[in-house]
Amino acid sequence: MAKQKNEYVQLGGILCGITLVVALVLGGVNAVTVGPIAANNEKTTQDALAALIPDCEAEQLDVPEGTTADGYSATVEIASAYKMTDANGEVAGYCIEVTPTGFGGAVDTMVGILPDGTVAGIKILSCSGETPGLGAKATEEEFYGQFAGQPADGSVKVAKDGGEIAAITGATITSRAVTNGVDAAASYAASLS
Amino acid sequence: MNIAKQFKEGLVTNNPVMVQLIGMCPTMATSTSLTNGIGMGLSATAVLICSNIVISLLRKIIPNKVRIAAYITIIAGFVTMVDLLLQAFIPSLSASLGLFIPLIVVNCIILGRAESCASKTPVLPSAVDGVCMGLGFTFTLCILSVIRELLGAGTIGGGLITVFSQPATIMILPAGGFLTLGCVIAVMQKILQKGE
Repeated sequence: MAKQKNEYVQLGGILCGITLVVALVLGGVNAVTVGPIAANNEKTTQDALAALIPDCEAEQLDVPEGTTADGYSATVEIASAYKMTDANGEVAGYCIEVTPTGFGGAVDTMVGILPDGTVAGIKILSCSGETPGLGAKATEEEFYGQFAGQPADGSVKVAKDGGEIAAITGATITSRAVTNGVDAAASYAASLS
Repeated sequence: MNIAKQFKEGLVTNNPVMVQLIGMCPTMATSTSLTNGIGMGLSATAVLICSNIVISLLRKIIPNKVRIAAYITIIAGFVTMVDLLLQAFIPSLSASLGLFIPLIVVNCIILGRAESCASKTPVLPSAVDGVCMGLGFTFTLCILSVIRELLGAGTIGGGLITVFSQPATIMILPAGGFLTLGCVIAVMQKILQKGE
């Protein structure tokens, strides 16, 4: 009995030791990479903001976790929102980051909404869950370029649902997700101004 | 130790994907374009080499009864490291491989090599085994992804060159992955039989 007990202590001890060493090493790697990772994410966001509504000061607005807005056929989570102010101090629009659910996960999309009620444009920040060659084509200008100039009143739909957006061939789910995201961003922006 | 023989085994005669038929999940998931295939192959190779070395070093310390738990902890540690390093320093690759990097943890090639090689072989041959098996995996991913990308998306080299504009979409879907893999394995077997 005593011998068996010793064995358990020994097994547990060795496993514990291995886990401890791995955890310490990972802590070290995390300390080195946490800065660059945050900087990369920040850069992606800033690049998108500058591309959508150029020459503006972006002020991040406080969006409580779990905030949602309705698209035309699905409810979409709002990840973050930015108020864009131009050089004269006037509001030049809002940029809303939405995360509609696509085919294989969230399609992280930044949507620019202008004060005149139109869409300035959209940028797909990440869509790693979408199928390469199908849904992943959402990152190509042929698709996302269609959104610039669309009305921001919740009426943006893919052609199949009676709208004007030509869906990506073979990727209706992704196209619909992005389109819903745009409508949700529009309704959220309307609630801000 | 015969490095040339180990290389031949890893790449051809005992190729992890085409002969041992392990590591199917990441093979199907990432062989949709050449850049993804190479990225996945090399990331898995890096993890495989590191885990083989560490497991081989610890092979006399790790008790037989808890070896799987110990291996998984070590492998998961290396995978998390690769994941964080990619996110920090090669964000574009990290964005396109996304979910698949954490999946290296359950890539059975790595656990399989830990079990059948690293746990009973000295450090140097284990490391070489990691290199050979990893390159074999990468090599197979390259073949599959070139075929699937060309037929399924009409491009070569991760969208570098567009060959034709009406591709057979099914080839980049899972079904096309199995079709391609089946054909490649058949060709491989034919070649191996001829060589005997």
